[in-house]
Amino acid sequence: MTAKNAYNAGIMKKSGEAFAAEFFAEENQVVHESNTVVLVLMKSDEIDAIVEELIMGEEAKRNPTLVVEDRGGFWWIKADGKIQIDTEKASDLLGKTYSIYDFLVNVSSTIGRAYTLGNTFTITSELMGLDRKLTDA
Amino acid sequence: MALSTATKAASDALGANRAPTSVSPQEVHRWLQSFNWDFAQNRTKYPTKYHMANDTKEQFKLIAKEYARMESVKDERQFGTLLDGLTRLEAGNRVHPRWGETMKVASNFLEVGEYNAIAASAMLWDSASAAEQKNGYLAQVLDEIRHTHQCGFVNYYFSKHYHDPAGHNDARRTRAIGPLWKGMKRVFADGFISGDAVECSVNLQLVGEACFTNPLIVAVTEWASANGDEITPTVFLSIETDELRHMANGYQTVVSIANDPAAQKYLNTDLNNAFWTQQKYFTPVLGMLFEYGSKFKVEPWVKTWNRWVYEDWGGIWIGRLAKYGVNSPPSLRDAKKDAYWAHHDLFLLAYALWPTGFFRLSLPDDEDMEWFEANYPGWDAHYGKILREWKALGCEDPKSGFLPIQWLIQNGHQVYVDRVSQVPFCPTLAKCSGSLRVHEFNGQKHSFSDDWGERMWLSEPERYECQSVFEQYSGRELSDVVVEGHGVRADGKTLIGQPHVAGSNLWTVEDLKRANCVFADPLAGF
Amino acid sequence: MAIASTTKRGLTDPDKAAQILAAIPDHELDSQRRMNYFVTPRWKRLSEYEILTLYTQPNPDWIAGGLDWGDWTQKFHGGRPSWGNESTELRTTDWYRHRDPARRWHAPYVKDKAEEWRYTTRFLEGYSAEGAVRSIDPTWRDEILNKYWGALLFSEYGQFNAHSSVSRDALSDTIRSTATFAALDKVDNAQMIQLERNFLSKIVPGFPESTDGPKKLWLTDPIYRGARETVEEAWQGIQDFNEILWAVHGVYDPLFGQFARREFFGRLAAHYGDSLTPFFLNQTQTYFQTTKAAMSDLFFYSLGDDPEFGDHNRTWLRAWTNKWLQKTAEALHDFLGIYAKVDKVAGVSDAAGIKAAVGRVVNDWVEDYAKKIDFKVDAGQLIASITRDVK
Repeated sequence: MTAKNAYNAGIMKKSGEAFAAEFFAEENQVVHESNTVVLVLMKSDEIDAIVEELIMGEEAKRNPTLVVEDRGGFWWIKADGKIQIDTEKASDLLGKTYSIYDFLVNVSSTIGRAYTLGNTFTITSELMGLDRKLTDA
Repeated sequence: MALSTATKAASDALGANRAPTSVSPQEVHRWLQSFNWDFAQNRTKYPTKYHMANDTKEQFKLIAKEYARMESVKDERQFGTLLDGLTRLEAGNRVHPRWGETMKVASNFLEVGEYNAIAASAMLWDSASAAEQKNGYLAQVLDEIRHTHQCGFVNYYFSKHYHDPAGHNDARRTRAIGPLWKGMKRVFADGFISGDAVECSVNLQLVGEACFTNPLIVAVTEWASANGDEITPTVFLSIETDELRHMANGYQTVVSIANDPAAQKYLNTDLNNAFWTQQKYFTPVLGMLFEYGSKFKVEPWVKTWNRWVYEDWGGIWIGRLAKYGVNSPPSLRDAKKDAYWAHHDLFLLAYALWPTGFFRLSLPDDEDMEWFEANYPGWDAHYGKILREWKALGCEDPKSGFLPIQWLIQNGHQVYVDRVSQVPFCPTLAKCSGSLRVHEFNGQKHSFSDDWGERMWLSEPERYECQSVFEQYSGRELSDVVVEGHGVRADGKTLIGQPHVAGSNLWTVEDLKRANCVFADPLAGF
Repeated sequence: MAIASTTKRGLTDPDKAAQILAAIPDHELDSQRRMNYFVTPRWKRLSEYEILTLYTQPNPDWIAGGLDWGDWTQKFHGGRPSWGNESTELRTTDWYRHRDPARRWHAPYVKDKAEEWRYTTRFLEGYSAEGAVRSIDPTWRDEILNKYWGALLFSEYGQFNAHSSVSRDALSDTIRSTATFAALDKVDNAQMIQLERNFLSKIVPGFPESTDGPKKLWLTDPIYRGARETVEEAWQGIQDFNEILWAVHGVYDPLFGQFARREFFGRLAAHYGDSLTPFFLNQTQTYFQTTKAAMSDLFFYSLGDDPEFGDHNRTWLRAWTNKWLQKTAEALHDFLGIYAKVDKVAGVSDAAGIKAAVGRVVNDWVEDYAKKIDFKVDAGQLIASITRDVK
């Protein structure tokens, strides 16, 4: 895990005057470009298994910047670049039919460009449609 | 009919193929883009100064039937949880009263946003020229109907199960009495549906949904959970599962105009106006509902704001679009000041006008006050001092006849309403951004609280003419206004709004009448 | 899971739960537990549909029935209101009077469609597994289903798009949901037509799935000329939300749509051994009937019988009917040219069969629509005019 993508990383570790000093610092009066993406998954039986096996498993291996945090009703996931989930693998894992649209049942939020293609769900920091075309195949 | 050679050959081959076959949604979706056709009068009824491209794609590739299946699965889970599991646990009445009151406002006001978003996304369905984009907006229109009903369902559920159903059961009628309502309409209703179609999309999708639904619909569930409420997470997290498609719609709207020269001229102004419009209301109201409407705090609102609004929305959405000419909103500096202080300012005014609410508010206790000072250094000397004085003067006690709104006026703290945002403000007490300015136009006086709204009004005053509660009720006695607006419980005498969340010592219409509080238009003095 | 939760739930954490329970009084603070208790129920008790839908539209009281006061907080450039009485010629004492007799809110609506989809998938697998496509007459399949059924997609799609401004402009919540559900059904019809063509292309070698052929036909073939012009006018030619709903659901679809779907494709499919198209038609026709019931409530009960403005509204509905009937009758007349492309089957596609089919649709329409608004029409003359070129 990389601390910089944690829920309480950086300024979020600070409190009181120290937080205010950084929050109001001159360099923080404009937005700063970020190459990260955030994925919020609503907890459920299927999602918990997918988070444990697929996201914290092979996806975290592929992308070591990936962080998963438990926020009560949802999993909060942040990573650099992109996060991908193959629902065919999820289907095997769960032992039942589980399509890309079944996965979307519990995808509560995305910050970044999310899209579906075949059985794969992707959230990426790329500007889809601008940097790269969206395709049907 | 004569048989062509190709037809005959195809038919002859049929016997060989008897594999079970069906069609996937994406196989149909591939052809959607060709469903449109050009004809002379094919133009939108809702003009925009931008040109939207014809080939914009949809990111989630849904067709009507698969949309219905997916949503139906969401509903089975959501309603199964609510109507079986949570009812058996009596979860509807195991919620801290402060939070139970917060949800009267949060769910009903979100419902209005969702409802108006039906019309807003329908307008964009009309405006978009690419068939896939129309399809994406159509799914959003349906989603917004879903969300409207889901928000209603939260109030419906609490009406049946929570110990104080008043307000949950009639918010659609009683919400119009108080000072928070019109601002909600600006940000969540009219701001989505009245204007240039793309400007409305920027308000609704790129800012409202991509930015503020994260604290409003996602982060709120953590606060709810901490305060005993498992109803809200069950519904709101399911609502948010549709929002990612809406964010994609908003983003694709930007993609569709990215190469339009008009975007270079207007997009940054529209984005800044939309950001300011949305933050002006959401920032104080969400902060107030979370921090003052809870017993158990999750984190300071300013941190929630910093994460979801500044770092993630600002960095991942707006920051990434910089190379296409999108700038950091110039109003960000003022917005950050608001994120720190505006919700405290608003709580003072909301509490001062508690009888006009369809919910109960409560003063922070000692533990809360300590938390506020630790997280917002300087809070205690300014806000804590006033709240302690109100408590000492008996603001919670129906026998006291003390109303904080009268204290404010008597102590020279006049309350105004910003004409553009409709957010009330008190210039002599506010620590948030802005200051009072007053203009006269067409024989009417208008008050404003910040540069950004004032600028919008100066260029188009005909768009912002709505009266404030103070103008509407000027000269009228407070209890009469509340009774007329149906702010009374089923017993015909006890008020729905209360200045505490205890089970006894509830204020009645008579208690309120004794205070003899008469509304005055603060602009009359100018 | 490997990660410890950072949030202690108030419902399950013993310390928090105890504090919460201590703060909850042992008695209820109000006895009224029915949400929206102030609404007059249409049926015996207030329905869930009425509770969840009614008064979600935040109208001020100068739009009849509204519960709010004052002006809109932001208006269009130039000052046009968010919603206003000027958006339709029809008037009412209460815009919130309409109810969908099926009492559909979002959840029941998508549940029905989800069931249809699941069953459609299973049906297609069964149909293909038994090789039932071999029963379809190949020419019907390649010439009619591929091209003319394929082109009907655009009629449904155009009607769907006519609803966009209705979903934007409608003056109440129940009208808005009725209109939007009807819209999704229309695009679903269009997608089902394409889905059938996708399906055929997967099991019939060489059957084209591309929409190019049907689209060209929709745009150029005289058989669809009148339909296309009428749909284009309903889509973008008018803005009054009631006129759009009436033009589509009060005139064009009950006449042209019903004829094309039920009387031509449905009736002839049976003759040509096509049990596939009727599977989809069963769905389109169910949608038609559900929408018809909702629109009947809107136009005949809620607006047509309004105690103060009923006569005014019926006058407008008659004027709109007159305008749209002429276009629709021409569309139907043009469409009858399609019979030249199929076998002459006695009682089905010969002159007598065609006139009888037109008669069924026109007489239904006169009974179910025209009479309800006192629109005077000579059904025989209308049938004769539509079938004037049928030999």
